[in-house]
Amino acid sequence: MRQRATASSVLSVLITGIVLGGCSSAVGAERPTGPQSVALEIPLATSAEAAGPSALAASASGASAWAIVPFGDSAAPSWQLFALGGPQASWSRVTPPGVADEGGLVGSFLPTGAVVGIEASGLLAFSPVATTHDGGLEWSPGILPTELAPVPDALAATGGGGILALLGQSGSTIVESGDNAVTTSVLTSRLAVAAAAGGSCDLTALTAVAYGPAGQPMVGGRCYGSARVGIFEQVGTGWELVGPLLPAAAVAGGITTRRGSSATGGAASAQSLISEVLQLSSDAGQLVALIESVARDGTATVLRLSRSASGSWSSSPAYDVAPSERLMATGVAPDGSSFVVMSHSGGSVTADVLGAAGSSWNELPALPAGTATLVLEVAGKTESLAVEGATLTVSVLGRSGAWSAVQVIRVPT
Amino acid sequence: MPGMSSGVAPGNSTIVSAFQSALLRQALVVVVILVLLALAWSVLRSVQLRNALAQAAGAAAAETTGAAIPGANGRAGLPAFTVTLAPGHEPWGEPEPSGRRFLRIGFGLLWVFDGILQGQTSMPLGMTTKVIDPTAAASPAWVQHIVHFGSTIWSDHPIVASTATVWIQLGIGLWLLVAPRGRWSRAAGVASLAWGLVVWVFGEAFGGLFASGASWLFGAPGAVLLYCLVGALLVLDERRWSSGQVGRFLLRAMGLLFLAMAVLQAWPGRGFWQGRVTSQSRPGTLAAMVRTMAGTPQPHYVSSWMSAFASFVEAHGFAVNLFVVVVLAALGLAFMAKRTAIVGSAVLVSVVVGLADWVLVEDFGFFGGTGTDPNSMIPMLIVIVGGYLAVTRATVEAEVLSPELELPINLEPDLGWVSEPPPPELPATWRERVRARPVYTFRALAAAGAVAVVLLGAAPMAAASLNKRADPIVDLALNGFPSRVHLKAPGFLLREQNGSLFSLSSLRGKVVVLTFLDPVSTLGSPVIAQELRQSSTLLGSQSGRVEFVAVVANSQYRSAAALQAFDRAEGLADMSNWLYLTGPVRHLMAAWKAYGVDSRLSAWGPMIPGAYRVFVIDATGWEQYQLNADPWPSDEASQASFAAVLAATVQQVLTTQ
Repeated sequence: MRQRATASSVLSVLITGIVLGGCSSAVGAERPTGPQSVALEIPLATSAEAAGPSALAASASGASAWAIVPFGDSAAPSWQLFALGGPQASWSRVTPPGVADEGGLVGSFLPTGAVVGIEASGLLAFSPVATTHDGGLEWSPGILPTELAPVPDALAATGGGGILALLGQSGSTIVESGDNAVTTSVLTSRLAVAAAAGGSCDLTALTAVAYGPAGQPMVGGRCYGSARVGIFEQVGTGWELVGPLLPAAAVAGGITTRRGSSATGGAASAQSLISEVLQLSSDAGQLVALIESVARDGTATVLRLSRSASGSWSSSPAYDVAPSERLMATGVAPDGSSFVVMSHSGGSVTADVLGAAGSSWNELPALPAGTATLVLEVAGKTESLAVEGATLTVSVLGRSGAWSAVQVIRVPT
Repeated sequence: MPGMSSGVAPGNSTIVSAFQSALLRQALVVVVILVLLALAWSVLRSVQLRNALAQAAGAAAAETTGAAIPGANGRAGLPAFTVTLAPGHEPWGEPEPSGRRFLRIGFGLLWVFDGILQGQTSMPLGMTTKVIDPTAAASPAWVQHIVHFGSTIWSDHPIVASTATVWIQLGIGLWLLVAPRGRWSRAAGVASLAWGLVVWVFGEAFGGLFASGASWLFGAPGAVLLYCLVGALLVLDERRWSSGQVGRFLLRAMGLLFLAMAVLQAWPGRGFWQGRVTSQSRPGTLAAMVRTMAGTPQPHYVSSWMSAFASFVEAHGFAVNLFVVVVLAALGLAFMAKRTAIVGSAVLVSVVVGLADWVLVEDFGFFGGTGTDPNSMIPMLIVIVGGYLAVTRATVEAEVLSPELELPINLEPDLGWVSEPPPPELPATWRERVRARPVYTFRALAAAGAVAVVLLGAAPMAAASLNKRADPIVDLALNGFPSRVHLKAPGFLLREQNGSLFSLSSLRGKVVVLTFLDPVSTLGSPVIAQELRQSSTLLGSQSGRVEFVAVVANSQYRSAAALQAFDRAEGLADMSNWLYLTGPVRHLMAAWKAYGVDSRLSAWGPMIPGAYRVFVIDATGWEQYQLNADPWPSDEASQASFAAVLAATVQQVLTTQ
């Protein structure tokens, strides 16, 4: 009972909180998108680095990034979108205008721009979206027929203008639309996808969407009572379960520690209680998924799974989420590295990074107070975005391991 | 349930003023009723005196002639004369059973007190927000659904409901007090039962029985349930009281109740055994309740001793609850004992413990501005004592009622009769009793007056419950009266959702209700949209002569898709007399400016509406009224009230066309 309560409470933190998601899905030969921070509960943040130059990035590095950062508290939240660019490579607030955002923002960021969805809140029963192609200077509004699912990875966009959106409280419907979400059509439903799972995955919700390496729609979900990861790929007019079995360590509860521990592998027995796809993205022909699993002993772990072009899956070491920790943000960088930002019961915040090679999780030096998310590998830097009141402070991690504030932005209230 | 009640401040001056004015008007009606009763009393007494004089004259003549004179009841025999018996002893020939009298007077006074409490100025708006909703919030959904029915009636008609409750409860209380016997008294019991049930269901959410945390200490099973119980018992034949049957029933019922409450109090996992839940750093259930009650606006010395008691409970929670459980169980068993001495001791203990709970836990029940009654402990103690009296006085009354004993008799004006008075002859019909018995007459008139007071409240309340249109008072309190204007309505050229051009002048011949709505608004515009929809429904068949027109008030989200999504979400897509218009930004801004709508982008993201207004334009294109449509507090009551005001305003314009 206690384990179940612990497991469900951890997942409820991840699943039911107000979320922001950024899912950059570059298709095929397009250069992969950059680091993505997928925040799962307040504070939530999303950041993605577009490898190519944007309209704002005049620097030679061509680096740019996006971040969705929460402000306020649970009683009066607000969300702001920031973009990195310009000659000084500085951050600026580019939140889409014209709509209240206290419900949260969901973003999909591409080299060519960004699509941002606004979570429904208050008496608003559907989700507006906004598209930009100039780094957030100008936005084109669109409308989704109903509310976006409250998950980090509810939106995916292609460079060709297509948008995938996960709608409904449990991700019951996936719609596809053209650019600016002028018109939408229902692509599939959770029930249809669940039917494809058969008995391998009791799909209770859809939690992530993406365009696969070949441009095919892909969805991830929450599987209950099995070790199979709920990742589905559209094949023709139907769907196919392509997610792997969870590694044994993540399933049995004998979780590897967060730093440099033994690699996982091998087929897992059906011991896992729940597995959920937090984020789905394409990266240079690879499909990358961040998942969380909760084992029967109540232990929660975060894993990065990668599928190569040949279709084989590999897994990173598991990141152990302790009962006193709360997962604040996760992300995948363009070079394949990943990070998690954890808040602790005492109020402190820590971050661990998994390198591209995926051998071990390494804890970063103590983060600046109020850190909401990280941005990895922005022009070779690691940045922290911290919130205090109505102020955003950007800090850079120096070679000495110390953080230096480089920019402060005041957000209007 | 969200939106169950008005969010207007209970002390809103418009509402308070309207409430007090209504009470004063109705009080004048009560005065008129009293005057009429006094006149009736005067007339009847005159009739009685004339009858008595006529009988005296006839008797004197009969004595002289030796003829028998029909008595006052028409039967021949000894000369009849008016006999008035001491109160309580006529015309039934035996006094009212003590237990019955105690309960009747006790609950009569309680109803009167409750009626006075209902006259507090916060009642019109505070009754739902501070009493009904919080009580129902802890109950299952089906209970909330039932309570919501009554709460909606109150919220839609706050003045009528609150004044009605005053007079109904005052009337029932007076009725119980002035009608001690017979049909009048039993009818009072029925009224007490009926109104008590209404209050128990809609006001107390079934006494919180279905909510978690119910406890004898907090008032379970609900004070009003005791009002209902006593009302039902008053309907019973007095012989049941006289024989002690009712008393025994009452005591056994209380016994079972106390035993059940003891089990409930002892039940684990409800937080009563802990003074403080250390794992969660919060007080236990009892301490938390006492602290909450201590925070009620009340004299400082009362809150201070309650805080002290809360601290004591936090420190000794287990012992306190153990004491309560043991006492409840012991009292429960004692009430069911056969020995009067045990029962008597239990009654004494229950009075002491009950009064302590009334002071230290229930906080007297009537502080805070919206207290509706002294909570359950006082009624419960009255029931217990009444039951005890009904048992212990039963046999005593049987002896007193022996016809061989002398009855206290007062003679009417001395008519010279000196012989021993004959047994009083009871008039056969109530008309004869009215003619012959001044005390009966007085009580009958007083009871009729009390019934009139009850009807003074019940009739408007019944009418209000059938009226689906909310009273405009809530909206008038929030937004003021519609502004009367006479301006040529500025025209505009925009587009309908299908892309076709639209001009305001195309609606000549119809009354137009015009407003400006943001399709992606999270609060204001959806509320106004619902109010417009309600208003159209209230217009009924006249809605065909009215067109509801909204102009988009968002320079970013103004596409047809956005408007269509809004219409679908608000149920406006199928409304035949609804138009939602858009157009190029410059045309929209021109329309905003023409109507004084300062819609603009905020620095932090959403549109700022500037002002929420609804314009009523007549069929010739002249603006006749402007209404402040501020959607706050955006609850059901204020929405329904605004819809009623708008519908009435539109009807006003329609009648002038």
